[in-house]
Amino acid sequence: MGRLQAGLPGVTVSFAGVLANILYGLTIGSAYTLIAVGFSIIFGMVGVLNFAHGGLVMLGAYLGFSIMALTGNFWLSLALAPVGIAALGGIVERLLIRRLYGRDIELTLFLTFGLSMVFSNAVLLIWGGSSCSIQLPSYFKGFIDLFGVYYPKFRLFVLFFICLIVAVLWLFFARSRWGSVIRAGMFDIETVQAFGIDIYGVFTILFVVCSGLAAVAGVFVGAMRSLSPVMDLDFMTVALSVVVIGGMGSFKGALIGSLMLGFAEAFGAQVTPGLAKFSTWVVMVAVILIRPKGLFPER
Amino acid sequence: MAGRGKIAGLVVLVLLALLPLGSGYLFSDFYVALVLRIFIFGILILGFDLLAGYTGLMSFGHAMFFGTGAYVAALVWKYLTASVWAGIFLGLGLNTAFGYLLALLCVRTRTIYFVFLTFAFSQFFYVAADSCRAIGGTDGLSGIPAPTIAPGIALESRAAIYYFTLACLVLAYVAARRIVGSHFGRVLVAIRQNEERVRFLGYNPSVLIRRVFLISALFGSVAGTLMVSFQPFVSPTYYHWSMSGSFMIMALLGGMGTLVGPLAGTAIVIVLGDVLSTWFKDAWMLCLGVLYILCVLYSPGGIAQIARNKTVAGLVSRLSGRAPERLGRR
Amino acid sequence: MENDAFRKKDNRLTRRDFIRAVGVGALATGVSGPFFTAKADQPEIRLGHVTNLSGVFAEGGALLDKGLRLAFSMSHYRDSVKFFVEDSQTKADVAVQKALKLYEKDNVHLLVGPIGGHESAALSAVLAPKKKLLVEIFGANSYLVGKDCSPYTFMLGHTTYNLSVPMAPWFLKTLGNKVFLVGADYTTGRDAARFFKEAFEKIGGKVVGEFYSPLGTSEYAPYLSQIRNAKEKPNGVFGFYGGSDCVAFVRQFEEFGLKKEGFVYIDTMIALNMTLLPAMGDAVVGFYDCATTVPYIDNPADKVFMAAWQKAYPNNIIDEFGMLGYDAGLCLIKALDAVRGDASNTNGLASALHTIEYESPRGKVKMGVNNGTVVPVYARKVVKRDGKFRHDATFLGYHGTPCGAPYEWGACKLGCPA
Repeated sequence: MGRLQAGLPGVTVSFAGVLANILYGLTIGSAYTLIAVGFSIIFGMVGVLNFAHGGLVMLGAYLGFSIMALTGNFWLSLALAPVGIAALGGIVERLLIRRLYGRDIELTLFLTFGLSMVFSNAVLLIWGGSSCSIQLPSYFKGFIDLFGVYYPKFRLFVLFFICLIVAVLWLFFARSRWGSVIRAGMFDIETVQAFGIDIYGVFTILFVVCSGLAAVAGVFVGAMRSLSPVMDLDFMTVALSVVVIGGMGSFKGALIGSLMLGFAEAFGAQVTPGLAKFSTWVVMVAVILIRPKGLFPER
Repeated sequence: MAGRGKIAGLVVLVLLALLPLGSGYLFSDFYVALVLRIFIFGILILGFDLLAGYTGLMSFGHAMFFGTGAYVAALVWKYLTASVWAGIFLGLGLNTAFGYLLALLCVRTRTIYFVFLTFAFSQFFYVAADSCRAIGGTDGLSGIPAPTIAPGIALESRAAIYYFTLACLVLAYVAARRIVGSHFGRVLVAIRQNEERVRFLGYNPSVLIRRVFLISALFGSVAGTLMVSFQPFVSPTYYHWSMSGSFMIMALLGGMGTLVGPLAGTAIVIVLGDVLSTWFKDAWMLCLGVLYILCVLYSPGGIAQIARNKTVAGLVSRLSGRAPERLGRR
Repeated sequence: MENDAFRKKDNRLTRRDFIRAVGVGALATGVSGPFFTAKADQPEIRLGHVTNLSGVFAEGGALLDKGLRLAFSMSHYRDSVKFFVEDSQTKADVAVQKALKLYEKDNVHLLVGPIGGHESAALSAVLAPKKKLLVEIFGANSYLVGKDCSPYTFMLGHTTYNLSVPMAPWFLKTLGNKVFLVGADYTTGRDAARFFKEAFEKIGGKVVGEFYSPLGTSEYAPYLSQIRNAKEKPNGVFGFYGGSDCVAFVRQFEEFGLKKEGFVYIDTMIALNMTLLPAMGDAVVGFYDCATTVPYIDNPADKVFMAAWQKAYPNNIIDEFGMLGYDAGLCLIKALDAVRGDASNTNGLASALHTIEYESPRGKVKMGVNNGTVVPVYARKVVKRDGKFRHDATFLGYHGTPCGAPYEWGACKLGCPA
């Protein structure tokens, strides 16, 4: 395990260093996955470009923060915040988005843009502008020594939890009957309806589930970083970037795209610290130039 | 019919030209600034409408042209020469290059992929401007001198900038109107309706799209340059996708594909933003968002569609030169 | 098909009428607005405040405003002062827009500026040529007391120079001679590190590494590992992260094990303030920062402040932002006294502020050269006593802006000998 002296001052490359970056990339990428998967599925399968998705993540984080502050129980936060935001997602779909099915995509864009403004301002009004954070219970504090890399216990838990969710979702979409119904609905709604399946009800459920996923991502992110009423913009940027890289409506694409973004961020910050943000966009533009539809477009 | 529209347009123009004279007496200079802002974004939105409303290509990256026009102007005026023409034309030049490059890439993509492509490139510029400390980085550039139209005559006062911008807006509108009314313009609409058919008719849609894309870019570039003359400051936020998003909102609100609609939409967004932030100090964004939602749900064709029904509609449709049934999106 | 959708809506005119009514009403108000806010005579004092109510530094804006109001409410101007507050969203272009709105539409007499160093630079560049007053409590951009100075721009709180240079000898004495520099990649972050570095290297210190992350970064893991992998282990990590960046950085600093390995973080620009400490949790205990004020400091002016604050805002904790807003209020009140309450006398206010001296909970503050104040500087350590966050402060002396020092300050001669 030799140490190479890279040209940059203070930066050495070692096995532990590369492993560390891989782990950081996985950490960042896994949080992105939850955010992006929900966005991508709704977009690909329901056809709605949900600009308010970042806002849902943010609301999930803030709701989790409040629950944690009130009860001191992290698990309650993790359980209840997604339920609340899932309900919100369902209400939004039923009351607002459902009216726009079959119309131009620009209308949903407009609507969700307005909705994102509502969410962002609501957070500012309810929780104030000051930055806060979800405090972790003591058993989550501390870190583990993995081959010379210090990795926080909580992030390992997050990684594990997200892998579980991703596995469940994957199995659902690939193997279950309803999964194939949804995938079919993406290609041809009318035929699916002709089979007697209420595709609009399915859409509502999709919204509910994806909003719930967004909230879970929000709680995790709130526990790993800090919360602020403008964080929804960053999440939206992530979601859009992942869909650009990974392809529209594709579960696999969202997963791979998120991981690619995560790794780009982790390695970019190390190798070219002044151009940290740049690395993610280099990846995005490179993908577009080679495959404009993304890496794994569903259609 | 067209005559009535022309007279109405002239009346509006005269009123706008008289506006700065009331500043300081009837109302404060702030309102001149507000209208000036409407002009600047209006120029960009005209170009945006040509691309999105008429040709059907929704661009989520117009901030790219706006930002580049602004940055080039700032850099030129600060470090090279204060000539406003240098700023405008160098900005146009750079934006032509970027626009052409992007247009080459985008001819392969349509609808949502076009949205993504433009998004990606404008974000690329955002990150580049944010990271590049030579052009200011996150802080942006400030302390930009006022540009000059001719040696010795600087666009210093608000009124001077106002009239210059108004002149540019009028030029831009006339140009846009001529494009829309020309053969080229009609083919663009045909492309939006059915590109395949246009190809069978013997046209090359890719070339035409490239052309309108460039024209759209140039409008955006001029807008960016004028922005810097008005507010001597640039920052990477001019490139952010939220800026592109607000351009889309302005156009959509007014009713795309009508030229006048998006201008009205721009005016409404800017005025509403100011009015609401005065009424509801902390909750103005919430109110604006709610209004957008209501607008989508009850009037998807935008303000132009609302106006369609009553007498204002007649005016709008005549100004836009199209019969009422053809207003609004496809 | 679009036309079908449209026709179906023909019988829903009532709702559309509603929207038209709202739209017309809003436009009418917008259009008629100017005629009602036309200039009238102003015996009152119109104080504008553009501050950060949202964005990275949002924790301070509302509290600064509260402190300002408190000071005025305890003065003889309590009935004649009128506040106008706008949100800059921690964006420089929005700050400029709002500042111009306050000056032109609301006709304020003077403006208190926002927290971000990049915002204050943009504001000063726009307002100074118009000869409009700008008073900065934070917004500590050192160029505004240097080559970009103006007779109308005043840095009341501190500058990046004041709060980084005195830390160099303190660091050498308290921690050691090896430092790792970090910071947010914009003017304040870069300047704080640069000034510290030059002062530190001059007295024999050594910089073993540095990195700057974009403003608003929330994932610091890849950066933190650079600290661990530095060619020599630093005695401390010095640099500026503020607001939400600071919360994320401090939490991840501890989370990734650096604190346990003995690395210590020293922030500056009053970043580890009372409002933010609860969000950071126990991770921040034992870290340092640099500030011009310490909450619960023991002096008579502070006791007056604390009593008044607790009475006026019982739900807000005693913190630095409130105190600094109050401090600025005291300063402005004294300046207004010099012009006998005539706030429209811009030049009078400017010359009063140029030589002002006042007593505040910070101590005796006076305006030094280049329109920057001479302020007490403290190195503070965050501790927890009885479950409450407190600061243990070491006084580092009074510091102001030097004259003719490097960093192009020679260009500004406001108060410097010729």
